[in-house]
Amino acid sequence: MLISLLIALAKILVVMVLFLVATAWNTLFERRVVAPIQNRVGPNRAGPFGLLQPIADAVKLFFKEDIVTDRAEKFLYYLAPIISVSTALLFVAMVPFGPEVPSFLSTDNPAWSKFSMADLNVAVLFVFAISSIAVYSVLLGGWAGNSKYSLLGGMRAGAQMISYEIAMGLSIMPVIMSASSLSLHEIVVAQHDVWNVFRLPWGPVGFVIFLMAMLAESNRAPFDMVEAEQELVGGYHTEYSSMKFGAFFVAEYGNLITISALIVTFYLGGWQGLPFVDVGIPAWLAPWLGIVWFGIKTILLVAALIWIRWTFPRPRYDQLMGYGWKVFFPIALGNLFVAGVLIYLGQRFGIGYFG
Amino acid sequence: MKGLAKFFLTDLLTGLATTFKYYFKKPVTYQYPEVRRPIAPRYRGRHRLVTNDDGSLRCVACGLCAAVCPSHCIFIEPGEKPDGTRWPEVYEIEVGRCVYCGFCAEVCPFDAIVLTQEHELAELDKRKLLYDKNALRDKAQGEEKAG
Repeated sequence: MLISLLIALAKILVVMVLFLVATAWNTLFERRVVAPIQNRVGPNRAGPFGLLQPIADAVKLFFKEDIVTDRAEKFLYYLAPIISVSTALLFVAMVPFGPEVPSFLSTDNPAWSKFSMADLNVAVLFVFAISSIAVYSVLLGGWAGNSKYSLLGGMRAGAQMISYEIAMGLSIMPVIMSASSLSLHEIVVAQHDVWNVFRLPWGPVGFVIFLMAMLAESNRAPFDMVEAEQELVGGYHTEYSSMKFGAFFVAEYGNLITISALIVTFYLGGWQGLPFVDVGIPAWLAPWLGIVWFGIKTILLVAALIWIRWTFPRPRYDQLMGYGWKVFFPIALGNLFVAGVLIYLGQRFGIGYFG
Repeated sequence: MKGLAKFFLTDLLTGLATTFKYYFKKPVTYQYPEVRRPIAPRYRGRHRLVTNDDGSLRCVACGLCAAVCPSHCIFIEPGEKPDGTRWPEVYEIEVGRCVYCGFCAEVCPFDAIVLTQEHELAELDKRKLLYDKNALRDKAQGEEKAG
């Protein structure tokens, strides 16, 4: 019992510390990746290649004056950044970073040997639940500041996130049907032969819709209606300063990592390596290599999301809702039907490709 | 055909390809302290009071520059040397307020004040931006002996 607890605590500590560090350096990563797109160099003054920039930013944010607006709804005002950070961290609890290690401690408890903080059998539902709660941080943050701009940003966020939740849910259903499980571990294991994104015809379609929906869920450009600097000053965090603003910032960049990790898990084969590279690797090394694969895929996807962000202009608000309801929703629904038929036939006639 | 192109997101992919091309272009940034942009030949920077061959200031303290200065940053107190020629007892420029229009150099009848290309004048203390005549004169000549 005690050792279970200790192992769980150790996992939490390692993953959380690594995740927060990754989040901090993700800000630098974004700025360095975006700079060439805009024909610039990017921050390169603090330390070699600007590597100390996140530390400088954090110190600056901590020492800034913490202004609380006079007419703010104090309780919710303080609650919103807490929700935003904690939901961003809760996502990570589900992510499977690697396959099971042949346990070096004991085989009593299979949970010890897994490279994830928790392997819920309903992990997908948990992820959806958390992503719905994350809406509250934006809504409450926008409302509690008692400012027109932040309220508008918060309301947009509410409408947007609820609309895109549906497309997101429908685009993930084929994956669940194919794996016959809601556990993220099982979903990755089911992609051993073919990554879900390569399962024609439903794989690529579902992947694109899920990617777009995830972008909309995390309020990243081109779907950053919530912030929309040109219209809304800063959106829902207009009235926040100092580290409370920093908390929203941490959540945004943390979410960027977690949505990449989730997309990798659902569609890009999770920790599974490229098949031809896996040959001739000793059995004790394979699970650790899984972590490397997962890391490489996640970093590449984060870079791709940044690339997307700085390429596309923001759609108008009505266009955004139009895409959600008139494009992504029907396509995801049709995709679900096609996938359902193919997966049924595949299981009936034993064609592994369809799931 | 158009619908098919829309379904495969060709427009979006074109956009992504366009931005990706910029990874292979050289950034336009000048890494300032190490790499400096060439200064235009007629660039107007810090002022300099021109000296004669014997090291005395060419200025006769007529006050035209102070009069023409749009930001009123030149202050002159005229004086007389023992031999009867006029010279500036005090000649101060508040560089922090100067707009570097160059009118002072333009209006000077003796070409006693010119604008150099020196432009890195930043100071942490505002008071250091008040230049007196010794700070303004040609550095190579050394300080002028009064009278």
